[in-house]
Parts: sequence; C-alpha cells; structure tokens
Amino acid sequence: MTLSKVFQYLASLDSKDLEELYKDPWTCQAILRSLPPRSKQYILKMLLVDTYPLSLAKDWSTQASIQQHKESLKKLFDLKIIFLDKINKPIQPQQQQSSQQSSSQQQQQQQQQQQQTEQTIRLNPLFQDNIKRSLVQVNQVIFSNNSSIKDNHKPPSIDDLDSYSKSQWEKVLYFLSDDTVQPSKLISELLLSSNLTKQEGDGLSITSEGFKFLLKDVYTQIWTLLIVYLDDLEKKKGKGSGSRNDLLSFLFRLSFLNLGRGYLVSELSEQQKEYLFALKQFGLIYMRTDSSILFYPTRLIISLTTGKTLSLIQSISSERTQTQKEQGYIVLETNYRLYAYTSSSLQISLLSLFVKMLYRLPNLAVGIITRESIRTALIHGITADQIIDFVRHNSHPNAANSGQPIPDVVAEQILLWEAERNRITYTKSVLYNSFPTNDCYIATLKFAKEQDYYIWSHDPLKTLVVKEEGNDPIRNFIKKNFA
Amino acid sequence: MVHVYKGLFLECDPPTKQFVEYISKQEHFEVIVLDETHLFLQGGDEKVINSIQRRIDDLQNQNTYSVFDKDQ
Amino acid sequence: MSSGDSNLKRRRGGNTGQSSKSYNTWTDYEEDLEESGEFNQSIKKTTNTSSATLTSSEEKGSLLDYSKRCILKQDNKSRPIWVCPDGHIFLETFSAIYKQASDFLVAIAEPVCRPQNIHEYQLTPYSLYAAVSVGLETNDIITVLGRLSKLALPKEVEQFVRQCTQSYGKVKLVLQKNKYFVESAYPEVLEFLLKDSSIATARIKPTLEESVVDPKTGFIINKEVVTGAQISGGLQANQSLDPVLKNDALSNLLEEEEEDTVNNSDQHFHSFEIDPQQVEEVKKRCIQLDYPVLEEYDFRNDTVNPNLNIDLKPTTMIRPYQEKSLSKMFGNGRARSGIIVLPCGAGKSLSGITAACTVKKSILVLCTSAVSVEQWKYQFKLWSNIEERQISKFTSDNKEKISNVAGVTITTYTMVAFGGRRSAESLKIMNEITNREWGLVLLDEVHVVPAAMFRKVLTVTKAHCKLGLTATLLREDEKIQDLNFLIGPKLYEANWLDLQKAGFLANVSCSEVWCPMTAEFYKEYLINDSQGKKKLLYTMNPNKFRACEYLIRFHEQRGDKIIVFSDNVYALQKYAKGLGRYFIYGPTSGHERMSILSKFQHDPTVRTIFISKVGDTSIDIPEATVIIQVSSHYGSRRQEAQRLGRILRPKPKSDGLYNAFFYSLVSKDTQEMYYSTKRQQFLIDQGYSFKVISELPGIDQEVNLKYSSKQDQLDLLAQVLGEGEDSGKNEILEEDFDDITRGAKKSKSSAPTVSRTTGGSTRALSGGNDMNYMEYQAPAIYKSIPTQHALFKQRAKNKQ
Repeated sequence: MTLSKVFQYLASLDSKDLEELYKDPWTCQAILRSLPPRSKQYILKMLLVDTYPLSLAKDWSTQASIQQHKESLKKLFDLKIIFLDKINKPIQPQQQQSSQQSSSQQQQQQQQQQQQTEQTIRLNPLFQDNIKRSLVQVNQVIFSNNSSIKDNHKPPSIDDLDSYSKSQWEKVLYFLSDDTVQPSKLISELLLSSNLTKQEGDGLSITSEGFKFLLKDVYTQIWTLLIVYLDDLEKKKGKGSGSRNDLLSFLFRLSFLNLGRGYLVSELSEQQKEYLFALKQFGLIYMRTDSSILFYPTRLIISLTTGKTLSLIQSISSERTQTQKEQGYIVLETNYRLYAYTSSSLQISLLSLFVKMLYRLPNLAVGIITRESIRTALIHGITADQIIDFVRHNSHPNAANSGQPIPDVVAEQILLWEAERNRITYTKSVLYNSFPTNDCYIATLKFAKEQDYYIWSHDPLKTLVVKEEGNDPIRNFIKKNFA
Repeated sequence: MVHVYKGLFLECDPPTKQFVEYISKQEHFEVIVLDETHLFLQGGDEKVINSIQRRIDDLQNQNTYSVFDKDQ
Repeated sequence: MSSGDSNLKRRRGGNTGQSSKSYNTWTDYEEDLEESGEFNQSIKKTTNTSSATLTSSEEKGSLLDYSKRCILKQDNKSRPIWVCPDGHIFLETFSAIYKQASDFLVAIAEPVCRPQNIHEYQLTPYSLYAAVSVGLETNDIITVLGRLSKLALPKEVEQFVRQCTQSYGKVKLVLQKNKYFVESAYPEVLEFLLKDSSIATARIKPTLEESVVDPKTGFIINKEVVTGAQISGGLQANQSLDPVLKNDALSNLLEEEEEDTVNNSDQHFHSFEIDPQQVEEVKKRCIQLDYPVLEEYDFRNDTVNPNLNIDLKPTTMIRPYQEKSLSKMFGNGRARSGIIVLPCGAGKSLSGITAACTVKKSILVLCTSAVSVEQWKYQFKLWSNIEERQISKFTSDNKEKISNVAGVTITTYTMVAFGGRRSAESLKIMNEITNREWGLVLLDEVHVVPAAMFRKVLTVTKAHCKLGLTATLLREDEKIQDLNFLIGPKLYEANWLDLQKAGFLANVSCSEVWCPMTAEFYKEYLINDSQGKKKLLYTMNPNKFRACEYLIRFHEQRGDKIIVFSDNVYALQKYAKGLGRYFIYGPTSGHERMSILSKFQHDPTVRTIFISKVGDTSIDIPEATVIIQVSSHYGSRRQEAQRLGRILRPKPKSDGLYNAFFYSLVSKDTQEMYYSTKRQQFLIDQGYSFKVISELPGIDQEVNLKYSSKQDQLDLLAQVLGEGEDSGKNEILEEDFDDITRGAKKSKSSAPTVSRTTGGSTRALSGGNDMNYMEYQAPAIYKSIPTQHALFKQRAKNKQ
C-alpha cells in the first residue's frame, strides 16, 4: 500500500528517464526488493529467458488470484520493466477457448486473431542485465565504509539517529500546523510548491491538502515532498543543479547503507553532496555539522524505498505514551470539550487547527470546539468530514468504548457549521428580458437550452438567464433572427 | 428591444434570499428578484459575493451563542 | 420581564449602568446580571476582598500552559484527577476510584461540567468553605487532593486551600434563647472581627442576665465548657472527619493519617451578642473577612425547645443520593445549615422531610406559592407519621393556629415577608412565627426568592438550622454567594447523569428543532426595529407552527402526553386555539386549571395541553412525557432546566432508549437561535446533549397541517403585524399574593385583599388527589446500601 507512492511516481516518468535509471544496478536492485512478492517472482521467472508468450504467463497464477496476476503484470508494464511484443503468428484455437478473460479483452484478442498476431513478454534488457550481474557479484561497494577513517567525534548511536530523524521530520510537520514558525528555506519552498501551504500575508498557512497530508503516514509524507523536490530538479535541469534521475539513483543507493555506520562525504560527487544537504533537512541523513567528513543514514532513508513502516515511523506519526501505543488520545464530550492525552506539541498544534485550546498540562491538553474554531478551520479549507474523521480515528479507547468516539451532536453541529457557509451558490451569467415578442423569447429560450447556456427562465415575465459564455452566441442569435 | 444585464445568478434558501435583498441597499448593489430562491445581482462580481458572504457570516455569528460571549 | 428589551440591546455591548434597578424576583435579577455581565464584575469585587485568590480564569479563552510548571507523577495512570495551579480540576470518570474521587471533589469544589468521560471542577473560596463546614480539614483536603492528582499538587493550590480554610470554622453563630451570639475559642479572632465597623455596629450589650463578661475584653465567657456536646463545641465538630465521608470516599485515600488535633475541651469560649437585625450583615462581613461563620445545631442536646413527634413511615424509601445529601447535613451528629441541590423530579421534598424527621423540633417550611404549601403538607403526610393537627398552614387563605408545643408550619415567603398591616388573626400567627426558636427552617426553591424578601424572612425568623432546597443553582450566578451567607454553604449537588443512569431520572431525548422562517415573516423580521415584534415574528413563524402540530400528531399517535410551553401569551392562545387544545395561563382560574389538568390526567382524548410559564415550576404533571417549547424567556438556563424537570420523574413505561422527549422549536436565522443555545448550557454541562433537527422527516408529506398554504401564512402575518407591541412580550403574571413568581412588585402597592377561591383545586394541583406523586422503587443495584449513615441506621433499627 504505502509503496504505491514511489511506484506511481516512477510509472509516471517517460521511458527515456526510466531507461536511464535502469542503467544503475543499485536502482534496479532497490526496485526489485521493493516490489511485492508476486512481481518479484515474475521477474525472476523471466530473468534467464528472452521472451515468454503472454498466453502462457497466466499459468503462473491460480484462477482465484487472476486479478492480482493481472495487476502485477500491469505494474511491471507501467514501470517499463516488462515489454510487450507482438509477433505475427497464428494462434491455436483451443488456447483461445480456454481463456476466460473479460469481454473487452476477448474482443481485443479477436482483433488480434484476425491480424494473426501473438503477444510475448520480455524483461527490459537493462534491468535484466543489472539484476543478473548483481546476482553473480558478491562484494559490491556502494560507498566505502572505511572504519579506519574517523572524525574525532563519537559516532551517534542508533537511538541517537532515530531520535534525530524523528525530531527533524516532526519539525517539518510542525511548520505545517503552526504558521508562526518559519521553516527552513528549502522545506518552506517545497511545502508551498506542493500546495500544502499557501502564502498568506507574511507567513504561510496550511491548506486543505496540508491538513490531509498531516493525517497520512510518514512514508507517504516524505515521498510527497521528495517528489516535489525531484520535479523541481527536473524543471531546473541543465542549470547545474543536478537532475531528477541522479537524485533518484542516489536515493536508491543510500537505501542499501547500514544503519549506524558512518560514510565518507568525500566519496560523493559535488552533486551528491548537495543532495545530502537537502536530505539532511528531511531527517533522512545525519551529519554532525555541515562540514563533517562523515554522514550517517537514518532508518528513514534505509526504509524509504522498501516501504517497511518501522515502529519508529509509526511512533512518529502518532506519538503516544507506552501503553497507549496502539490507541487514540482524544476524548470529545457532548459539551464540545475536547481532552487530548498527549504531550506532543505537534499533536496539540494539529488540534489547534480546529479546537480552541484552554489548558495544557504535562500529559493532557484541554480545549473546546466552538463555531469560531471550526470556522477558522473551514476558512483554511479543512472540511468538516476531515475533522470528524480525524477525531474518530484518534479517539481515546475510553471514549470509543463508552459509546461514540465522537458524539453525534458534535459531529452534526460541525457539519451544520460547514453547511451554513454554503448557503448561496452563484454563477456568472447574463439576464435577458423585455423580449419584443413571445416568439422571440421562445426561440431564444430554445436556442439557449440547445446550446447548454440555459440557467433559469420565467415564461410569464419572458425573462431568461444564461451562462456568461452564452452571451455572444445568444446576442448574435437574436440579431440574426429578430433584428 | 431585448434588455441585457450582466451579473451573477444567485441561488439560495428563501430566508437567505430575503436577507440578501435586505442588505442590498446597505451594500449598494442592485438585485433583480427572480423567484423564491433565485436572485440576479446586476453587475455583481466577486466583491459583491464576498460582502454578501461576510454579512451572512456576521448574521450567523450574531445568532450563535458562544461560551466565551460573556467576556466580550 | 420589563427589562427584556433593554437586555436585548445590551446583550453584546456589555453596557451596564442600571445598577439601581429593583427586581421582582431573583430570576429577573439573574437574567439581568447574565445579560449585562455585571455579575462578573461583582464576583470579582467579592473575591478580591478575599485575601485568597488563585490565578483567576478571567481571561477566559486564553490558553493556560502548565505543561512546564506541573510535574507529572510516575504512577499518574492510577490516579484520577489533574489539579491545575488555577484551582481547576479534571476528573476521569473511567478511573477505578472515580466514585470516591467524585464524592470528595463535590465536597470541596464547584462542579463545572459533568458529561460522560471527564468532569471539571473548580476550587473556590465558597466551595472550600462548604468543605470545612461539612467537617473536612485543611490537611485532609490537601492530602487527598495530592493523593488523587496525577500532577504534583501545585504550591499555589496548597496555599489557596490553606488560606481559604485556616480561618474557617473558627467562628460560630449561636442562637440561644432567641439571642444571637458570635462565638469563638479565640478571643483575638473576635477582636479582629470587631475592627470591622459593620460588625462593631452590630454588637450589642449582653441582654441575658446570666452572661458572664470578661472585664478586659468585654466578651461573654462561656464557662460551662460543654465539651463539644452543646452548640458551643464548634471546633470539635471539625476535628473528626465526617463519618460518612470517611467511610465511602476517603478511608482508603486518607488511610490513618488523621491527626489528633489539640483537644479544646478545656478551652473557654468567648462571644459577643449581636443585634438580630444585623445578623445577615455580620455574616456577610465575616465571609469577606475570611472568617465565615459556621451554623450548627446540636439538636439532640437541645433541652430548651420541645421535641416534635415525627418519623418517616416505615414504608418510606430514601434513595442513596438523598441519604448522601443528608449525611452531609448531619455529618457530625448536628444539623448544619446549607443548601442541597437536587434535579427536579429527584425528590427534594423527601430530603427536606427526612431532615425534619431527624431534627424533630419545630419545623418551618417556606414555599413559593400557596399551591406549593398544599403540596408540602401532602408530602409531610405521605412520607411521615406526623399527625394532622401538628401541621399548620399559614397562607392568605388558610391561617391555621400553630401548635403550642412543637409542630410543622408551612407558609409562603410572601406571607412572612409582608410588611403591611395584618389582620389580628394573621398578626397573632406572625408573632408566633417570629418568637419561636425553630429547629429547622426548610427553604424551598431558594433560587426563586428575591433577595430582599429572603433577607426579611431570615431576619424575622429565628432558626437553629436552615436547609435550602433547589434544583438549579447556577454557579456563575452571584446568588450562590448571597445564599452562602444567608443560608449556608452548598452541602451537596447531585450529578444528573449519574441519577439518570441509575434510573432515578427519566432518560430524556433533547432536541432543538430548526424551523426556517418563511420568506414573508423573515422579511418583516429583518426590517422591523421593534424587539417585541421581532420576537412575535419568530414565535409565530408558520414553519414553527407546522413543526409543533407535526410533533403533537406524532407523539399523540404514540400515546404520549404532551405539554407545550409558550411564554408568549399571544402565541399560546393562537397555537392552542388553532390546534383546538386546552391551555392554562395566568388568568386561568384555579377551578379551570384543575379541570383541565384532570382531563389531561384521565381523559384519553386529551393528550396535549398548552401552558404558559405558570407551569414552569409549581404544577406537577407526572403524566407528561413530552415537552415542546414554542417560546421561552430569552436565554434563561434555569427555565430550560425547570421545564426539562417537568418530565424528569422516572417513567415506568419505557420505549427503547428514551422515555421522555424535550423539543425546543427555534426559528432559524433569528436571535432565538442565540438564546436557545444559551438556555441549554446548564443542561449541557450536566451531560445532556441537544440534537439539532434541521429538518423534520416527513413534515412536507404530512397533510392538513395548519398554515401550509401561502395565503394562510400571509393572513397570519397580517394578524401578527396588527398586534400591539406588547404581544411580543412574555406573560406578566397576574397578582397572586402567595406566589412570589407572580408580580410581587404589585403586592407592595396594593394591600393584600386576597380572596382567591382556590377551594379544592389546589389540593388537586398539589397532588392531593392521591394519584400524583409516586416514588418508584430504587433499581436493584441500589438495594443494598453498603454505607449507611448512623442516623439512618438508627432509624432502620427503630423501624424493626
């Protein structure tokens, strides 16, 4: 599930870019290991053959999981890991009979039958080569990990790295939910160009997208911002700021590093050093100072392409006390008071988006939902449903057990507050009246309806309202027919 | 000859329609009443809509009790 | 209600400046205060005079961040409360020791809100005064608070508790032989108090011959050293913890920490006598000087006043919360003055009568109306074994002679407070009332009584102990402070939701029905400047009328009995006549009322009646299961609670989840929306929730609803617009001498030429027809009551 983001992105790239990416063996390996088991298996099945008839490929799957089979193949096609070829060759009739494919595909096949073609699949040769090679090479070196080289500082422990990446990423999220805090330039630019925040006066304020973003898991959050960063690179391509493919390969390469080990910055290209600086701000890389000679990968970057949501990541996305790890923290009462069992500033500022906070204690924050607090959230583009879902999703087990995780009255009131903001709808339009004759009115009305310009009309008053874009055609129509 | 007015076609519930009519004089915009739930704002633009929205918001605010009201 | 319009204008402006206004009733006064925000200032004023203040939450709404200041205890999970430095307390109801913790908190702090999961309380000087009065000591409060709290007890809270409680309990007000004395074991405290000019003025020379006076200080010295058994043992009363509290709430929390404090038995008590007229002022000043006087009555050792032969009938069942409230009153074997707050329908009268049966001295009951007098008499006979001849009524209609020895006298506030010329007969009874040393004065519906009247009544009657009863003591209300020095601290406040869960109150479904204004009515509403007209327009909104008719049909078909409330008399008549139903309002004669109510009770075809605000309190209609509010008194939270109280009595018939229904019909986009939400606040804080019904399902398909056609609506509009300004106003009730809810101001000007013919009707109204009042058996879970107060145990023994 969580992987889809990175594969979606890769699939969206054109074949030229992908071809370029697949030149890098590390990228190929990273992709291979990140794919779901079924896809992995298909690649391995085809690793040593040149082509394979598509019609036989369906035997790889049982009838029951034919859907997954198709999806897996589709994914590999999308990633340009598998190519589909058509070869002119008559098809054996019984094969076709046994096929139980959907009607559209049957049609397709019938057409193909007429053309006397057969479909075969093969692996992308670049990808195939790289994977083959990686199987026979044993001691691959990504970056030298020379333990004899040490800077004069004690290396960070794994715990240090964990808490570092956690706090770094939390900072990013914190920027989003509290517009009084100014993020670093890069992050703030990324938040802006990803539409998670918008410029408002001097500061940034969260958008509806931003609110949804906050409710997602860390892995998806990081990829969302990374992709914006990647796209930015692509736009500036050729202006000496690196390229998207470079960075992608670099990311895939980094994911093979060992947690807790330091690597030499000097082994990196100038370009990669620049990336390193960016990744640092995401909390993906740790460096003691900007000029340190060693860099340390964090758990976040190592799991970035594998998509394994580690416990650390879970605990970042929903920070809770030990015993409540799997449980919610929000108690919302019928008198609109909200109690949050949390000490996380992030969670509190998240709540502040739609709750007026009144008390903050070491392990409890207390607030109240008012029309005003909801109104502020609505103005920010947060929807009533998002708020209700958020409370429901994070509700404290005691609140959930004792009846409703969110009291009906409160949920309904929030929806009503939202509804009252939409009491008028409007359309840019043109109104016609004082038609000289009824015929003229009727004809114009008919014309407006036919052309899909019609909005409203009143026959006794001979009044007609049409969409703005209908003005010129209708004027011309009247001029032409009734002038 | 046919009269042509550019503006905004507005759809709302009957009381809101009454309210828009009511504030049209104060906010200086022309309305053509179409029926119970429709109005035409002659020459209306985003600005007019914004001021209407603001007035509706004010009205609702006035008619909403808040636990903090006493301190206002 | 004359202040209504100006209130409205000032509603948001907060412009006060009408301080010299006179008020008919507390309710008016309260409404006015609420509207103006004046009461906030006066609270500030009063609390500022007290040396002990916490960081006040005046800046309501700003974030108080204590996350750095407070220290979380390691084992906080097992503890149920958070105590904030500003005295605010949060309580988890899902804690294993919730019951104990809430018993403790209700004794020391004001409940702010008590919904499902988390309750809030606030420590105030008054709540701590109440805590000391029921026998808790400074160290107990601090220790238990600290134990219960997840956070280390903030220094300022500890300091606050000390400041508020150290001086409490040092001064007592003693009534002996019809004279009042301020008494203390500490002469220096008395000297301190006498530095206050008001108290110094109130002091009079000892009038009793036997008084022994210390030549140095001039204080009377009580050399008898009654060793705590007599009234003068005030300090001792505070030394031992209330046994009940100790049993159920504190024992495991306090363990054996109770210290042995200094034994005062050899101490002398010093006192000075004060002018009976100044008692109230002295008490008020004492509170302001942080030496609130305790009033306790050692009734069992009172050999001067004759005993009254009264006991609860063996069949009478007391509910656990009634017992709990009384245990606060009689915690140390003496009777404390104070107020018990129980929801409507939860059996306040029985609590009062049980108190009377405990004290067993002459009892004076003060009621708000003649109807209520009848009701009380009926209840006394229902629950206790008192003989008819020992009860006397004193109303404008019934001037019965008071029993010579000891007896129960039931009268109204107005009868006692009346300042005009009285008939010889009346004068004789009044003299009896003022001369008697009452063992217990029961004050019914204390929140309704106007301040001046209250003072008068309490000045002329001499009582050893006073018990106030009320359903709705709004805490933000200044009255709670007034009542504090007039009667005593709040002894107990029941939790509505708990009572509902236990089945002692009906489970009511509350809804706010939004009725969109019709275009025509809304247009007039917008352009009309008159507040009265606006009000009439939103009350008479045809869509509201249709909603009302629709709901009546719906519930009549279910077999419910429905009361429709309308404060506005024009609307009341229009609705009732339009729908062909009976209605009762001020001018309805007693006979007619009785006849309508009887039909409502017995006639299956009469399922709905319309009532003006005369039905808010005094009329008891247990049949009703549905209330529909058409028009109400602005933002009165009390009225809302009182009206809900009409259907709170537990219903034997249960249909699914809810067995009673409360609807408030509100015209959308009007001021009524504002008031409606405001009215609900008290109930919402008690855990009730009002479901908004923005559309009644099926109302548009319903045929033959009135005012559905445009023409009918326009006709109605024309009629409404043709009405005078006053039609928009609420009912101003006709004069009824005994009833303080009815135009007491008028009674000042006109002599009490009372000749109301109530006859048998009041008997019926008050439940005299034997079918009205029913005490339902407590649910099984309450059958075995583990902790019984000594007094009740005694009673149980006697019964066997």
